[in-house]
Amino acid sequence: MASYVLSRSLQTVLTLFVMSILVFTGLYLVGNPVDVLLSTTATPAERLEVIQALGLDKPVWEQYWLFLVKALSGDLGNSFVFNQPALTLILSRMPATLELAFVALAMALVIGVPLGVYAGIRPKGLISKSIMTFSILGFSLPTFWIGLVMILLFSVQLGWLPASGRGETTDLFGVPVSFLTWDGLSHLILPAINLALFKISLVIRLTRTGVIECMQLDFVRFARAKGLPETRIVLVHVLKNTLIPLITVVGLELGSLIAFAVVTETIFAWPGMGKLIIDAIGRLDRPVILAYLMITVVMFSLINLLVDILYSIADPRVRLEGKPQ
Amino acid sequence: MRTSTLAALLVASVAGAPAAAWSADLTIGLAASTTSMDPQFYVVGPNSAMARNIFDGLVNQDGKQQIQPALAESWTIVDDTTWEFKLRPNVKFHDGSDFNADDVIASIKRVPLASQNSPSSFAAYVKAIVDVTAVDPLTVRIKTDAPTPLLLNNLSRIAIMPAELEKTPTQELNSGKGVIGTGPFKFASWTPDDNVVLERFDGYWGEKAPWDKVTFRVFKNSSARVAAMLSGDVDMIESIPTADTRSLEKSDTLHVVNVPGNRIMYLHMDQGRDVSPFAKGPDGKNPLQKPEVRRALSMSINREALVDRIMDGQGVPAGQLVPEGYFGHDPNIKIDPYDPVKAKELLTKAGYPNGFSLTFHASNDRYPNDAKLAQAIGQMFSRIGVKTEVVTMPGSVYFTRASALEFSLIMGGAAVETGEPSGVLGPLLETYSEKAGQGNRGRYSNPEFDKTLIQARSTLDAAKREQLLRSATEIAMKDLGVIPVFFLANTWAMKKNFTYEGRSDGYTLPYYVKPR
Repeated sequence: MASYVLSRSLQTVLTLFVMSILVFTGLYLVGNPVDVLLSTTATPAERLEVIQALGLDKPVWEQYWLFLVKALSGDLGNSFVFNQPALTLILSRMPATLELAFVALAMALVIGVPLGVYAGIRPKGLISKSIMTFSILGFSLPTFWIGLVMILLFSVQLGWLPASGRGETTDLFGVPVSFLTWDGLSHLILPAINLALFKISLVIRLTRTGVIECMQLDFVRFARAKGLPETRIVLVHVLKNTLIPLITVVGLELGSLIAFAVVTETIFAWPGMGKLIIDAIGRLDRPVILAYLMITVVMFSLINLLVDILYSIADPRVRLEGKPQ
Repeated sequence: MRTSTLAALLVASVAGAPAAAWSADLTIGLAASTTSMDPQFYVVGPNSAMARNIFDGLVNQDGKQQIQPALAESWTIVDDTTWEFKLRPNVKFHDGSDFNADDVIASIKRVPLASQNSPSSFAAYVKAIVDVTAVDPLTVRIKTDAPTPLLLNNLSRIAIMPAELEKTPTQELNSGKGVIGTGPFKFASWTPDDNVVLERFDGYWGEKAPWDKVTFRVFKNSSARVAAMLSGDVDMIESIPTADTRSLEKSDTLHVVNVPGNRIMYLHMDQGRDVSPFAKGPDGKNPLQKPEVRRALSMSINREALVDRIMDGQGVPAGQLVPEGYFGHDPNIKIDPYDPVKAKELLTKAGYPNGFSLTFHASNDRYPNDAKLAQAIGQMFSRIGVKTEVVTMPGSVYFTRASALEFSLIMGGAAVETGEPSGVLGPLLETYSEKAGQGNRGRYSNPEFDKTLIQARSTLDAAKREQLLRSATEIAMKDLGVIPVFFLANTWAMKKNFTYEGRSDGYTLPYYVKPR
């Protein structure tokens, strides 16, 4: 186990390294941030000064080397426009994004799994068909559009929920969270549903397929012959087998929920990391872009590792070390 | 009798209610975020606008960017390079300390410190200043290295802070410590890219602000901004997307303020090279070098239609680089009329009866509707026989390539930040060199123009200076070194019971938002 975790960590470091090179050269090719940031009234001499101050006059490999040396000591550089450490900037925004992502994920599981199980047991029923139609809509309607429609309906027309922003936050173990107060919760509902909709549909479909497959397997017949109640067969035996593919997919989806909640965050003006990265890309604020992507890589690796461990718990046949059976 | 007393009471309470209710809070939806709480760190609209709520300059720019007394009550020009400012007495900083000459000196001296790591620093505004001295606690003398008529404009940009902050770096101000000015609001809190909260400063030297607390929230996405306004999450928003202008104007609960802005949208044509990468006549030469061709392009543009159809009324057609009402605006210069027939004649006269081929490059995320505008203008060019292809790209790519002169005809937007023409004439049209013509991506060059502009720059006499600026503008517009298209409008939407006059610089200043 320990050696497994260690080798995975080494892989992560390697991924970080390769990713940073790609992003660094990519951004270098896109354009010069100074042309975007500098006022039009600055003289060429002043322009040169800024370029030198930001270290953009050096050849790209040297800029990368300087970045690497600093990064190894934990300094990912200062944002060009905020003049604050990029890492601090992103980490300060992380709780908001994490909260949104976890609430959306919880919604996806709490709503998606029961509906999926139901649709799997009675695939031909009218309710099952309605559930599946809903899931198709959840899949195919663009998040952006749904978000705006939700705002128009629930905030503008009905006036039930606020249209945007993060409400009041309270500290839970030192982390600001908003689901503990009504004000915070009311701000959280719409964006969380917006973000969860796609995942709910995904979970429904995965669970349904899994349940239908499992229900036809021998062990279910055996359990029935043994005289086990149907609820126990479904909730314990079938569900456990369905969970395995679900864990993999949901794990990956959590990563994408956190890293790419950009659209939802933009529409609902949610103060998360997603909003930050969009601006950073528009302004070519390289330190912020790099730091963001590095955090994303670390996060994905962590989640993948967790998924693998969970996987081995759910399915005892899986061995992490990859030893022959 | 009893009913009338009741009625009187009711009337009194109703009449009294608004005043009590409005002395409350204001929530504003902004389109862009303030990147720093240091008012001297980064020259960019959202930062300067926010700074104006908390800080004052020696002088301030009004809604039309003309200079008004602020911390300096009056000033005199002692000689060509010496200015004397009489400071306003009894002004207090937010921390309760008194404002005097030392604060002015320290604030000007702090600029280089705040410029460190700045992507666009304030250093340019103080570079003409060689010395600042206190004659007495309420009199400051500023010496410049040469006659500097724009000194007041420059000083309007420098926020005055308490003297003890002279050595305080940007990072510390960003943490919220030491954000102390003399402005109508004091700083309460800031979450980068999300919100800023300000509170009324009761010791303000002018009339007190009408709001106890102002919360600015940032909505980059324009649909989200409009939705927040419609749902009542905010009381007021800035920068309405053009597509929503007309529907918001019709609303019963809101009203829209639309004023001409100071940003001129212009076309820049490659005039510096005989062979240009994206403009080729049948002979392979660059047709854009001929003034007739540039005039023909200008006359092919239907400016009224652009403003009306594409900008939904958010703009004013332009024939020069500063809007009406600005110092140096030349009433004699007329906007080129839309006349495709005449334009074709001009092309023929210039030797291009069958037009030429052109690729027009523009950004697609920097100015309102920039990609749509480029498409429309490209079609107008095609109608007079110039075979035009339009290519748009994100600003992050576009500006780098435009500065490297990779294009032949481009569209840009320049803000007239000085409230007079030299602030745009210089960057866009002066002959390109180490020290001038920084934004001259068309490499227009006319020695006569340069001479007039340089002379204007060192003329302190306002009337003479205005005349020189008009002459320079006339030369440039006769050559059409750039083609002015229109001025962008600045827009705000707010609840029916608020008023805001609007500003040509687009700043959203709650001090001037009034209940009615």
